[in-house]
Parts: sequence; C-alpha cells; structure tokens
Amino acid sequence: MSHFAALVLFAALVSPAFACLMREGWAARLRFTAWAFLSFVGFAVGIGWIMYLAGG
Amino acid sequence: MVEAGARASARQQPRAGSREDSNPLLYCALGLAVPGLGHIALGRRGTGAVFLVSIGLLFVFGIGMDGELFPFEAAAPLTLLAGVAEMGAGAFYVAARMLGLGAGNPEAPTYEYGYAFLIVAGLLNMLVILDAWDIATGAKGSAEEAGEAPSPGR
Repeated sequence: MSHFAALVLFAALVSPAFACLMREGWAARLRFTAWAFLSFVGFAVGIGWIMYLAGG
Repeated sequence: MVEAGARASARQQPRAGSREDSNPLLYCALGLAVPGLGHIALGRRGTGAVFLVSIGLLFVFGIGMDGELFPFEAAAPLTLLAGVAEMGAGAFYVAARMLGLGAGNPEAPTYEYGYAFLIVAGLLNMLVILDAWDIATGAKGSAEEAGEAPSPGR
C-alpha cells in the first residue's frame, strides 16, 4: 500500500467519526465529513510539497 | 454576570430526552466493550453504527497492515502508552489478542501505518466513550435533537 493510499484510507475512516462527535444532524455531519476528509488529504499533500521544496 | 450565571444554570439542567435517570458509567462501559454500543443503547443507533464501522475498520486495517499490539512494558513508557491507547478499541483488541494477531512485523513497509491505525482506533473510541458520557448526563442533546429516532421503549 502506498503512502497516499494509506492517507486516503485513514482520512476516509476518521472523518465520519469526527463528524459524529462534533456535529448534530446528518446534513451537518455529511458536510463536516467532506471538509475533514479534504483537509486531511490537502494538508498532508501540501506539507509534503513544502518538505520536498524546502529539502531541495 | 447575570448572563454567565444563567448559562451555568442552563448547563446544569439536563436536556429533554437525556438519560439522566440511568447510570452514565453503564453507557461508557458498553462503549468500551464494543465501540459505538454506548450510543446505540442511548438511542443513537445511526451514530453508534458509524463509530462501530469506523473504529472497527481502522483496527482491522491496522492489523492487516502488520501493525503491532504493543506489550505493557513499564521500562518503555512510550510503548506502554501505545499499548494503553490500543486497548481503547475494546472488543476488537480482545479478539485480536485471543486470535494471536497483532504480533507486528517491523520489516513490513506498512508497519508504521499499521500501528498508527491501531493507536488511533483506540484513542478515537476513548473520545466516543466521553461523548456517550456527555449524552447520558444530558450535557449533549438527545437523540431527537441529533436527528435520530430513539430506540423503541425510550
């Protein structure tokens, strides 16, 4: 399994649980799940690029 | 000042539909035994099912990725903490121990991912248990307020 696949799997499993902990109502939870998932993946990819560019 | 007092008073009042008549520790124990079971017993079946599936799959993938169930070694505090965190997964942890799974393979490329998944599964369930406590004590809204129909008989 690649790093990216593990990241996506982790984000997909953790996001709905956080949504159920932090939001009430299924519509709000669905929005939070999408936001958390994209944040997990986006920040990890972004930080990865920063490390790559900073490391030369 | 008056407003702050009113807010504090409102916090102490159990919300409608909460389970203040029962022992919150019972729901926490159910949640520790099986992730999400405390929420299901509180009438939040959908929420409990999400926790059961999320935490269960995190744990199963963690084992599948050659993650390690850490031993309780007092001489290695970080290993001890990791072991305690993994125990939070409750039934999944017990089942894996009984089946002899979770030996871990440090040479596997996914070993670090595996134990990270296992630790997160346990820690996430600890948050879920605290959430069940909040619901049972009335600090968090009822099943109806969360958009879920309560279990029959509630």
